[in-house]
Amino acid sequence: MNPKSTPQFHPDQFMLADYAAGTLPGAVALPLVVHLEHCGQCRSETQQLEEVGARLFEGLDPVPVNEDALEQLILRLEDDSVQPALGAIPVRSGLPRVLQGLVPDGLDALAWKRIGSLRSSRLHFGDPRREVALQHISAGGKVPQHGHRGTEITVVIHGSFSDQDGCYRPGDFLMRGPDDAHRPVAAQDGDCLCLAVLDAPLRFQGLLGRIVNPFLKIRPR
Amino acid sequence: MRGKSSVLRFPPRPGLQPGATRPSLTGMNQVVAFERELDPWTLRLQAVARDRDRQAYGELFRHFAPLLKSFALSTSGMSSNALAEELVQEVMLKIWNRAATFDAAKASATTWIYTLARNCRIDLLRRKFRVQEEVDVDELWDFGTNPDELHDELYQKRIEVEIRDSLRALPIEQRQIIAKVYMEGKSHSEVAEELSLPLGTVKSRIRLAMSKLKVMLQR
Repeated sequence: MNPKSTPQFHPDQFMLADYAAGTLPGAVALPLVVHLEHCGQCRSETQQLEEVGARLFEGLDPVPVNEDALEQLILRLEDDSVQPALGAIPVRSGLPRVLQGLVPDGLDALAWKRIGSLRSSRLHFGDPRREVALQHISAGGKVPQHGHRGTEITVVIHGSFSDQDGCYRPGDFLMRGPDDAHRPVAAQDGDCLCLAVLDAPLRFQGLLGRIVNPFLKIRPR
Repeated sequence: MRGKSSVLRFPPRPGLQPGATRPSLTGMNQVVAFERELDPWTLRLQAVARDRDRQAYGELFRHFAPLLKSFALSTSGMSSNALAEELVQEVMLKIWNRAATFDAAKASATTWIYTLARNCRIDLLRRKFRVQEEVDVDELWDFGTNPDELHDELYQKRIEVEIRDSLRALPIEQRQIIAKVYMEGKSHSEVAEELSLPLGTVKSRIRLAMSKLKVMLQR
């Protein structure tokens, strides 16, 4: 929903389709929604993908419901039970709307773990197979060269970082697989905050890797 | 429902179904004149939002509840009648409670109700498999819209017709896979396994289907 920046790196088409179909795991939908808040192009694509679902839905063979279904329902209807729109939630802490419930007391209240200039804080999301974490690189900070044992999805929340493939700004969505190694560096002029979702631990390279890799685990919360 | 090609039939537009009695428009007199232009379900939903119109609500129920039940029953891993009835109740209740948040400039009533059903299905599956995720489904599956992305109903209708026509024109093997993903809620690898196809084939059929549905923008 931020008109200033247009992301240059997008989720792939299948991911948007799975989101529209409702089959995407929640922990993966999380960084996707952060991207959608920034990206009008993907929002409009997702809307059209929802239209596809709606057209399939209206074409289903109707199945009769229980005879008393409407009666039961009528008993539950109240004339004044109007729920406010979801958009009415006040924006706090400059975090994307969808993350605010996961960081109720702000960034400073989180427990941060440090690896070099990367600080990482695991969020309690509830997917037993995926770690959801905020990652913070201080201005100009370099993260040691690392690869991935599984898939790492990263979306930039604020600030920017770069690696050999490009420079990533708010809303940019990256998916790294086991074959991608990179060495992220935060921009000189500001800290960078990202949301990362991992389904396997990172693999640091070189001497650091030989020392820390055996101890790295994803720790879903 | 599963295994049957239940999603491959496309009825004519609502309100024009042969044999169906046209729902009366009591309580919506002021909009009768425009009725032929506007989607009849959208009109009823708006009447529910504006006037808490129980008759319009009953008409929505008669049209959508059997579709919602069908949607629930076609879901892989959810084929219990009780769970399907629960989905019908929950979605119909949300239609009543959230009608005021419905915005016809974003989507038609059918599309809005599809998204409610989709979210409710995720919620029921979470509960069934005791998954406790900390972000509400309706928050996670809501991405908002900028005001400049809203369209008039005519535009909505054109998109709907285009997608409906393109779906009809899809080769059966592509349509089948799209239906399995959307209606049965299967992952690509589950579809591949079920149809004994390589994952790559499933993905390329989805890609082909989507490009025909013109929803995949050029990048």
